[in-house]
Amino acid sequence: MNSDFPARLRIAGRQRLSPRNFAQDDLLYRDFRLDYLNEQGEIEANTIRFPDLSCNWSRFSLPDDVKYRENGLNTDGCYSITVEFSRFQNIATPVHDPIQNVEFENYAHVEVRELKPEEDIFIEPPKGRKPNGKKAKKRRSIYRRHICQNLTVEFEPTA
Amino acid sequence: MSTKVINLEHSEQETEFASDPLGSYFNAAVLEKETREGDSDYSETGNRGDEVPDWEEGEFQRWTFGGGPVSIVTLTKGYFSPGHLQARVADPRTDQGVVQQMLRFPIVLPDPSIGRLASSISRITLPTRWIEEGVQPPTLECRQKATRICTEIFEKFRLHPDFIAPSKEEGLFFVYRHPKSDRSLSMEIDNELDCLGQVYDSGEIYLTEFIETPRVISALVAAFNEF
Repeated sequence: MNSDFPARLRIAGRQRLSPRNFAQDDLLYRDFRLDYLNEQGEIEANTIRFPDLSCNWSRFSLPDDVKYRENGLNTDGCYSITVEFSRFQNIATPVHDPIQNVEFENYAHVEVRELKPEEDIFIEPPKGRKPNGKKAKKRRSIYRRHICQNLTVEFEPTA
Repeated sequence: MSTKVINLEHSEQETEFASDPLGSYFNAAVLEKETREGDSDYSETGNRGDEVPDWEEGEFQRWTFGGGPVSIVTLTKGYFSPGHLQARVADPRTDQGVVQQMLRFPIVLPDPSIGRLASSISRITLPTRWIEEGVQPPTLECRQKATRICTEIFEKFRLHPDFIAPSKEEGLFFVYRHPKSDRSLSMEIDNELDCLGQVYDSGEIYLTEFIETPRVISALVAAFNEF
């Protein structure tokens, strides 16, 4: 592991938390690169693959920590969304998903997973679940647009 | 030298200028455009290697057609009227700009905007990082469907996308910006060939619909224009 790898990202025996532990105003940090921007310099919905949107939880990390991940670069930028926005219309909810990877251990890692229409925001949808059908696709499209409309750029990428 | 085949359908009723000896030549449904890398005589075409010419109204391009009695032709778009090509044919041996024959026939080459669009769609590639993450590029069928829908939008509403990109959801993504409002129309065509249109601005989503019929396109454009 890199010597300047932040200790705050190490799991260090800490327990995985439940969806109820997220505060509505907690932030979820995501990385982005220059080629994620549209012609107006904004992050576009085409760059968001949902569900299982990978983020870092602000309670255990800083925006800059998005660089400490597989394929991360020092030139990467970071944007954030609030937990409240991530639960838009109960389409999704964040799930604490610490990464126990020797090189990129990350206690702050969160996946925003898709909920079925009848599901509560405090359940933990399983990893990799992507409901089929056009109705689900339409919900996801609305959700992705909503993320774009409500994100905050923490710092810009340089490449 | 590479040869591109361009379909030019010739219309009999438009051939008042096209008496022989060249008329029979232009009655052929297929003409060949020759392009020569590094040949300065052809530098003015500006679209070497493209399947679809990329020219503006009033511009001319030089084409060489093999097999005919006359092999240098200058085509000018929109000289007589929009939607028509004018052909100026000259003998390659004398090539002094002498007009030997004037022809007029309907354009079946795509509109230049559509040509550029089709070209852009065919060239889209994924960012390196997405490839590393296992995202699949847009398929040929996806690109073809996107081209068809964008062409329809252009032909009906004269709208040209301001942003064209691959989608991380595996497909293609287009955004049209309204020139007089904050509204945008996005369209995403995935590799399953589902096409979702969405009208929105910075704070609201007005309409999200699958584009399955031309009526949906009209509804989306109406929402896009409503402000």
